[in-house]
Amino acid sequence: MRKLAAIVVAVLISFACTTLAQKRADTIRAENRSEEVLYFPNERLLDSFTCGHSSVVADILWLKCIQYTSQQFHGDFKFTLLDRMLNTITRLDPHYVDVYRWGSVFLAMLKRDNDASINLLKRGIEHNPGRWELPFEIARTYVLNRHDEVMGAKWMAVAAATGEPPKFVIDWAKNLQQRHGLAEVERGMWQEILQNSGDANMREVAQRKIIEIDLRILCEVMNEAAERYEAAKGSRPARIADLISESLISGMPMDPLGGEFFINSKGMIQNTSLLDSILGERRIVLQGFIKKFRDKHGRWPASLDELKSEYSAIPTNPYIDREWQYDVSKGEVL
Amino acid sequence: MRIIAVAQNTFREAVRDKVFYVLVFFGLATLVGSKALGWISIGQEIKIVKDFSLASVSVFGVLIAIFVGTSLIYKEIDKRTIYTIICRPMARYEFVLGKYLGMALLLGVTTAVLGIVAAAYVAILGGNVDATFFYALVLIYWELLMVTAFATLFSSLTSPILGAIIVFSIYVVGHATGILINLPEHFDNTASKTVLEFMYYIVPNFSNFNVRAEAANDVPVALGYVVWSMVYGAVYTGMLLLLAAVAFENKDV
Repeated sequence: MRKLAAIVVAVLISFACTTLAQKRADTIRAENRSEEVLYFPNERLLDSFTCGHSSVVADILWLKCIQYTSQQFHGDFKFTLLDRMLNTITRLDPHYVDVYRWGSVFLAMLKRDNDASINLLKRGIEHNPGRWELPFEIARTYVLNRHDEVMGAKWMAVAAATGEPPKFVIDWAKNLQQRHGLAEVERGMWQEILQNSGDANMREVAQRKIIEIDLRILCEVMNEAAERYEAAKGSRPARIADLISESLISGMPMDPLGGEFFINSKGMIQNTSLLDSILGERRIVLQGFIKKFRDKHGRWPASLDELKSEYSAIPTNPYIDREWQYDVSKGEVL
Repeated sequence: MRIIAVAQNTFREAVRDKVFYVLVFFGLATLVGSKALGWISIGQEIKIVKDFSLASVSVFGVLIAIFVGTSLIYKEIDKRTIYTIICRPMARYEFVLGKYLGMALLLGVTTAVLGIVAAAYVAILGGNVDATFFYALVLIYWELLMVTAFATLFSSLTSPILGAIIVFSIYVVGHATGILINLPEHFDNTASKTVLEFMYYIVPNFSNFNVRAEAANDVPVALGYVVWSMVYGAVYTGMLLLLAAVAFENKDV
């Protein structure tokens, strides 16, 4: 019995001593925390000697990088070693898209180093050319941090054309392109196809696209006129004829594609040919989701609401006053 | 038939080994515990769980292959049970092959159990378990077969501890072969480059069997790559087993 008590006492004393030592060690480590990160391993050595577990090591170093960023955020706010850490992690796992994304945000927003942020993302694109998130982050850095919307528009166009971007990326890309006159670049591209393509169908598409560019410009001009009308009269025009009677536009423009201009319920002037074109594209996307649903569940969705509950990126009808018409028996959008 | 009998016995014997259960337990614990690391990261929970799941299958499989594999033949000699076997009408190569196949079966069961648990765990957490994930598991098993072949060879040549150290060193070097071929420019047209390139094709290249990063990041892997890596592993393993059989044939037992 006495022997057992002695052992218990010895164990307790041992734990008391180790606890004391641990606390002391933690205190010293906390005092020298900035130096700790200096031992961040060299990526070339790591790459060769992780025994094939470079992806796991990248995960661990990423956690360390988050801790470092947090410490700097609440401390010196220098982020001196952030670039090196991110380079090491992305070299160990070049497909770690979230590190490129979050790392670029840390570099741009916290370290205020936009060049390093953009370079990191460009390296990410080299290894992951199919990920829209990376050009999207570059566009965001240009627009938000550098206030360079033209470059932002270019990178947003890349994001919209890469992989399967969500709807908001495509909308942003279109808005930025229209705002910065990139429509002329688009026009030049279609004219090139119209003149040089040997494919009659392609020439027909190019012809329509050039007319659509003109129609978009006409819509923009008339919407600017509507804004001037609103500034003068206090409300949006009820009809396009109101803009003509106020001499804000010279006359009702013609649509060579047979469509017409109208004012929607929000007071915006739109064109039916343009909307029909978008409608066709979105209907194809929507049919794709319906097919995906059928492949998964073995039946058509009972309604488009059921489809929306499963997929968040369901496209809306470009006519803002209309809903999609869905034939549940055939699984078709009308 | 005699080979199968040895293989079955080896499998039964290895399954009774406590080391095996300890390693499988730690493998499963690492796999399940990986979710905790995902919590403290930013939005990469599934990626981290996939990484750690595949790493635990690989690491604990390699540990089983090394620690159980290097004592395969040595233990029979040490306990003198080998005499009851070699006095029977059985060729020595059959004994070596039977031992190896028993270990291969054990590792197959281990990889399958850990792999199925990993895939189910990732799927439950909402992750994508695609073909690349299964390619990664198949290639991990192929790597384990090659490591076991090394372990079998050294089991018939040396003691388990020394054998384990040698096989582990080969495993580490086999994952760093890239440095032999990706040389800086100043190595161009030098004898060193020729020698190092020669070594690149001689040293076992375990990085062939590593598509774990691709599996964790949902990056597709070509089936052709998987097939050629398996061909490489099968040929190398066959050569090692031949050497193991020759070594045991010449052993003074």
